[in-house]
Amino acid sequence: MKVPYNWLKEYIDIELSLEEIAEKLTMSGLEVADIQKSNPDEFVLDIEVTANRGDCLSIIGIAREIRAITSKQVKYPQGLKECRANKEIEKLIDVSIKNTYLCPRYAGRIIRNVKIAPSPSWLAKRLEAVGIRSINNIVDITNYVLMETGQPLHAFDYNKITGKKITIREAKQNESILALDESKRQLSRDMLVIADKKGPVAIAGIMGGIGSEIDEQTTDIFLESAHFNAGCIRRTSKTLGLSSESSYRFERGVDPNGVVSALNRAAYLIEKIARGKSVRGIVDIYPKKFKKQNIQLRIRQIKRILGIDIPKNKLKSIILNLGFEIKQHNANSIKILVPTYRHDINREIDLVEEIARIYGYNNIDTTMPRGQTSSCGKGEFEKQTDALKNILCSCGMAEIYTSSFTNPENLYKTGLSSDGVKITNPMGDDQNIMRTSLIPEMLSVIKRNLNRSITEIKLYELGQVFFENNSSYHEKTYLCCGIVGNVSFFDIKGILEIILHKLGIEDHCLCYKKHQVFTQDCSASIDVQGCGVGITGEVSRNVLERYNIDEKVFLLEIVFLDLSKYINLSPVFKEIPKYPSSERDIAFTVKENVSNADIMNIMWKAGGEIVKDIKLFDIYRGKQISSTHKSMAYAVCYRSNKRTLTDEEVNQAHSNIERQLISQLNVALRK
Amino acid sequence: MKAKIKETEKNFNSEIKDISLPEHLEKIRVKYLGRKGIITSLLKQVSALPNDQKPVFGKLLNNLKTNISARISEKSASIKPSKRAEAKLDISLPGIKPVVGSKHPLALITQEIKEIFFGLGFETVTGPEIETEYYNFEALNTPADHPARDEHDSFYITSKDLLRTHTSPVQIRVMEKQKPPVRVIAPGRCFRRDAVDATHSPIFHQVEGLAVDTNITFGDLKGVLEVFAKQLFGRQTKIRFRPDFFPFTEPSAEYAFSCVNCKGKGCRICKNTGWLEIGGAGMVDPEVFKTVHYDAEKYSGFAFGMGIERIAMIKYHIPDIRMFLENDLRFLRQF
Repeated sequence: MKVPYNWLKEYIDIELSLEEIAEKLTMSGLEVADIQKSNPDEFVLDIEVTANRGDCLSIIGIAREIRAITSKQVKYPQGLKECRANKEIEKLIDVSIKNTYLCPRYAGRIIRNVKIAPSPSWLAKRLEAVGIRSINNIVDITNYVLMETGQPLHAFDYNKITGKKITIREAKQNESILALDESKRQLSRDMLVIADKKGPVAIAGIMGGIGSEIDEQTTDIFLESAHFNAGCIRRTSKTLGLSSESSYRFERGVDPNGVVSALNRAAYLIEKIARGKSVRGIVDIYPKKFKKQNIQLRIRQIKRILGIDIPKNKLKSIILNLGFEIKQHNANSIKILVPTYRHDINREIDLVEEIARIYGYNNIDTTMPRGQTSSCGKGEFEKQTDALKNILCSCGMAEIYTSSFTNPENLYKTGLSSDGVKITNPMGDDQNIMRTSLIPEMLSVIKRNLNRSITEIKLYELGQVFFENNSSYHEKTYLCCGIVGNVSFFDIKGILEIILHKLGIEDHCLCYKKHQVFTQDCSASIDVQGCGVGITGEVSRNVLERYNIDEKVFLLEIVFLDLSKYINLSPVFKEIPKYPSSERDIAFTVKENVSNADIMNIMWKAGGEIVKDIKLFDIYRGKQISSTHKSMAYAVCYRSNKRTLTDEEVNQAHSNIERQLISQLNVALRK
Repeated sequence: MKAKIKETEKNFNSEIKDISLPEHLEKIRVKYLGRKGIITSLLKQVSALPNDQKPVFGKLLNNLKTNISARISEKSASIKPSKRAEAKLDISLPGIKPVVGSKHPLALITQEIKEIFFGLGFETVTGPEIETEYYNFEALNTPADHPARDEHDSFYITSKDLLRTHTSPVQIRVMEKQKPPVRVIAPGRCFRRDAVDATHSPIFHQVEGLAVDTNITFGDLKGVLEVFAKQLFGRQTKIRFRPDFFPFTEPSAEYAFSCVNCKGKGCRICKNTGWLEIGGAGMVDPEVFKTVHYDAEKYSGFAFGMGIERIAMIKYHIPDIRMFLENDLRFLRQF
């Protein structure tokens, strides 16, 4: 809220400098975000008022806050006397409220023979300083009093009120109103309107209608000052997409007991500035009066919540400077009466906060929590993801964070189902569903980096993906790795093997499985203990073309949540071999369609338990070998944990391997 | 056989005499000692001899092998010194760097934040990113018509389900499950329909903290955040609290750290205020305790939140929040 400093000083004496007062306001809860100089001797404070402090959305409200921090008194402005005796007004207008929950109070005055004219320059300038456009003297005065007191007012052209009858009621089906912003607003039955005999003349608390607008011909006005239900105003304002200085304040709480003084203040200014004459009497329908809250503050609560003792005298002076009354007090508690403009103070804890903020948060001693803690630091899953990140980092991979949003087109591009959790109000249609895979964004990021002439790319992401199942939502942590550059499928497989090994997962294999993202040949599921936990392969040309990528891309994606249950982060020490091992090589030609896995399986079985390791060290295809065959060479390591193996033992095992390879796979040994 | 051995020795001696280049020497080594070399083939022939002759020739052949091998080493040592003058090692040549990966700066800073709170006895908890209105707002004392919702422009999935706008719903989920004492932090991704600019992103990350026990005070909140500030940004860091408003804490505060860049003197980064606003905090509102069936007369607690991007931007001098989701490797590799 913009607060012209000279205007503020009309209501309270300020002995501190502008900077000092700004600092004090900031440190007690009203942040002075900026101080602007509007002309040589006018400063405007830009104050951020939190959602709970509707009472501070006025110059007087700010003055009351200054009272709380400086102990100076607030000087309230002059209003027109209420003459309640001879109610001439009752003959001129008939007001009734249909729903006193939505409109607890409605007051009004009639002022005749006003002279509509431009506002005097002091008035126009003040409104300009707070960001309100000057319209004419009457409208400006209602806005001026709104800014001054925080009470929204509205002036109707009295002669345009049909039937001289005003009803505050809920709108009827199919009713509409042409509002002052010159747009037609369709109303619904949960909205509150001010209506005359013909129909709505204003959307209650939000905006008046053009039909009863003040114009140059206006001579008599009906001035409204009312109190409306905050929730109702907010819902209507949201539904209509229409907000105003008035609705902003009603939503945040206006003092129901300030209705009449603001009305009288405006009437006073209208008589003075627009030369009108108030009709005697005042309309004030207020069936159920809002009362001041009576709250008990137990003094020990100060210590319990804030951690410090505040001397009782200090407490009392803070309470009084806040404008609260002390009804009663003894050694243990204080009974406090809170004025109705502080609708945010209803409970003891609210008083504790008031006292703390005026006492000064920075005057509260700093301590550390005592007592037991139940903590065990990292959770199990978190330890696993942390370990995973360390492994990937040491593999030379760079971590990425990508958007959780995607769109069906993007999923389609990667050959994935375009189903996903839909966002009803996305920022754009390209971000209208929650991701179901990390692959599309991985490819986008790869493309972005290739565009920047980066050719060796190794990336990973660990992130949440989202699924819907019978209108319940599931989130799963996925891992995606993508590599581009001087790499082959066996680089991504190597990364996978390191991940699994370091996470203590032994029993795993790749099984050929077709997946839309990958090429026909290079596409596999990652199986752990026989269960598929992810996929890996080479991204197909079709997919790459949709991303405009020319390079080969190898990916893996793992449902990390599924992998999690197999992870063992505590390696168990295994005895370091005491006895020497013997190595024997074996080389043979074999048909192309025999896989390494087939060969290894046979070798492990045939060699028996003294086989400790088998390493493939050469694959050769060439002139000397038939084109339907390949030559494979392995080093087999034999060892016993109990003794040194004799040559015979090793030879026996090794020749058994040879025999089995010959008989099962029809290999030709090369010697 | 004997003749063959003699012949081999003779040939070898004459061939090795004129060798002056290491590559030629290697050829000779392969010729005589290689897997398919002369000695190997002679050894095979020996194994075909009658048993009584084997040891004799075997020994001769092995002597020859040892000899040849020794001569080659000798020669090798004598021709090693190259024709070039010995070059001094140029230690200013570039080192050979192993390829190392990197963690995302947001992951790095989250880890650092977590570790500080682990040291203060906090543990990590998480919650879903698709939340219900109940956990995101209502249980946090923010009913449907509350103006505080203005700051939480939300992405909705249905009328009741939305993407969480803050990590605070995790507070409720923890307290529903666990009795005090509670000391948790909850890092995670959040979503708000904020227009993108240098400091706003519809996708961002927060860390939430919550401590509940029989004697937790506002002073403790200040103490914990002060230790945090000093550990994260250095011993000289100061912390400032001022009143703010959140529906789920009372009293509520905004906390700021003295500017890391200018040490509080005022600079561009702190907009000349000397302070960097970090996040919101406060004492858990009794209404929230009521919702999770904690006795507000017996227990008290504090909660705080902070934006991870904000802290990373301060710590690493990152000028624009959009860089975090852009994933330019030239950016990522700096961390």
